[in-house]
Amino acid sequence: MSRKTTILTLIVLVGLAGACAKQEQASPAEEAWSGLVEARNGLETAEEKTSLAEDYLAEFPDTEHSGSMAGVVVHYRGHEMEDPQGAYLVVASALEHIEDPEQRFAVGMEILSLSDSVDVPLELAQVANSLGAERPLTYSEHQQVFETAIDLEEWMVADEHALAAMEMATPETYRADYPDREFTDEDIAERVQRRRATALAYDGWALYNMGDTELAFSRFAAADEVGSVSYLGVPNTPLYTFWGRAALGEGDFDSAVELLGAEAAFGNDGSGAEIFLREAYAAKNGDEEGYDEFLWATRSELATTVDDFSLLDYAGNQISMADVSTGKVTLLAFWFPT
Amino acid sequence: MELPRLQPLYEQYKDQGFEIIAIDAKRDTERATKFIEEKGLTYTMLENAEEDEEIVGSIFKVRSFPSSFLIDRDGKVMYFHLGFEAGDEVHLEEEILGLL
Repeated sequence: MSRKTTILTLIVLVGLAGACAKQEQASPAEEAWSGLVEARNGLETAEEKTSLAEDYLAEFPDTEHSGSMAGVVVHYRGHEMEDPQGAYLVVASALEHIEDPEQRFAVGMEILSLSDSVDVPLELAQVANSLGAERPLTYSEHQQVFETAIDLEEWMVADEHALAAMEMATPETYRADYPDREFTDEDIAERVQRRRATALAYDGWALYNMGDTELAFSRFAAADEVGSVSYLGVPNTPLYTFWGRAALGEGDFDSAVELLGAEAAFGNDGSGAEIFLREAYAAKNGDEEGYDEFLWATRSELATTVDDFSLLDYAGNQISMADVSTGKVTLLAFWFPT
Repeated sequence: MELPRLQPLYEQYKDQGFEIIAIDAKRDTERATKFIEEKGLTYTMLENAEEDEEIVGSIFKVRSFPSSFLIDRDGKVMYFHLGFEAGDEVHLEEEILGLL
């Protein structure tokens, strides 16, 4: 090989290597994404958090992150900043550019979650069906649809997806949803039980509103029998709220007070149940007199006692709960740093 | 972020017998210590234990964060709250006052 050819070959090789390197470089959208991930760690206010997501969506509306960015905008601008209309405009304009059915579903569901305060021109059933035409929905997607359907009072959609979710509440499906994680059989059983109880409770409430009272109450009883309960002994689904409201609707005030009482004290969404408990209490007793005392008594009666435990503090000292809280009122807060 | 919103409640009521114990479920020591220092949090902060004895999932069955439990002077759980949105501290304060 002549010297000239060698040099030429080298140039070509270097050029090729350069071209390859260029191809491996991240796309502008990916680069912007890494920048965003870096930047969001230092952010404090809702304004800062939403504007980062909004800028990203404006420049790159159609990426694998569209759904999660839409979620950030809906949460911070829509809820924390109480500007649902503004959040809607941002996310709806991103949706116009999104082709991927997965992301269309994710963003569509975020938009629908604003329906209680914004006039949203999307149909829940259509959003669900367009992803459903591509592939079967997962349990979590069915759950997202039936929960939203209950919020929107679209009872038939809720019923359809709760039934589909019920079918999918199996150990096999659960494992398939988390292929990279290992679970003990006990873990799986508990999570499947919870999925089943959730679907049954929501379906009961959808059926009750569709006028099928008998089937609705049998769903509630079935959910109760599955018995997925929290540490505090009440279902970790809104079962007692739905069941209690249905009992209230049927004029069974004793059951309504009992079910809603447990939920208002310790439920996932106790404050949601409390309005109906107050109503049931007044219906049962003629007026609201003594309601506050009744609520405290209910709590005291149902309350569980915490077993002591001990953990390390950040200086490495073993601290027990009793050390800190004996004889005191204590707020135990579970969190993780983000 | 929710934990700093608890600091004023702690300062206001600790002399009347109110305590806060915050448990970091993730055991992200580096982030947690930085956060605690930056925000000037002075109540009890603990780390969740290793898998076998972990408190968060096995004892309290907490699956969503932040979750909080308000415990009375006799050690009974009198209130449970999921999430922590702006304004929640007002309701929480009422609950604390009811127990103090």
